[in-house]
Amino acid sequence: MAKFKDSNNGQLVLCHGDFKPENIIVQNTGQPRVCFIDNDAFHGLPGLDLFKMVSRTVPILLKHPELKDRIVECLNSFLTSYLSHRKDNHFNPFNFRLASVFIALDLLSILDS
Amino acid sequence: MPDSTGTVVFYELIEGSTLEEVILSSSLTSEEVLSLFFKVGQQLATWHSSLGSSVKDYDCFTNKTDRIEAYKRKFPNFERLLDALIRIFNKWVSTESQATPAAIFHENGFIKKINIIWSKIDQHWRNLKTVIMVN
Repeated sequence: MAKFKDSNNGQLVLCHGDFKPENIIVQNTGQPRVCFIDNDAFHGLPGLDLFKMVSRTVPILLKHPELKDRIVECLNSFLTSYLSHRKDNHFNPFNFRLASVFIALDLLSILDS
Repeated sequence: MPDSTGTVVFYELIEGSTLEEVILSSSLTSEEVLSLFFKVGQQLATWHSSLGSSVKDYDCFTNKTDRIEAYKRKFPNFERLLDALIRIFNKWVSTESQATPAAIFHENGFIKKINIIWSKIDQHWRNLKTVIMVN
């Protein structure tokens, strides 16, 4: 926990809480629009939403290996866009070593469900 | 419309495909799908940046202990399993010199390694379920 706090300078944001591809709706009427649904909003570290998006996209990739390049490019686009649009541009979620624990536990929780 | 507490709330009917369906669909070009993911990243960044809080509340992490204990009961080699996963992701997240996440995925053999670990977890989980059902 201390490492988590230090790595983010104690900064908390309003997390979506369940940020994964199934909870992102794409409306394709005219200009494409994305909506986030089913949030469990809480104040937490911003990385939690990012890491869940990654850990919930990896299983899609494993089920559809033929889409590997496409999915990796999509995740790259998502993460690059997120980092470039954060107002506090010193923010770098990849400094979170404990992100690995979160993603690992989340992958296990998928098997558990 | 006002809800039961008198608070005015707004409802919006949202119709469309989930992002997962979009990934698997062939109705959009690769560029269009990439553009959507870019938009998702931008929108999440805007949300996180604009709704920041000074609240110092870490209670949301306190329930992790229960989950870890539960997994320890379910996976006899949980510590080793977790260690293996952590090693992979540590290597991934600590590769700060890489320019893009995609480069990290490719150059560290991320996908290959996670495939191996995933298949081990899956096999282990299926074996465990068989043992539970037999007993």
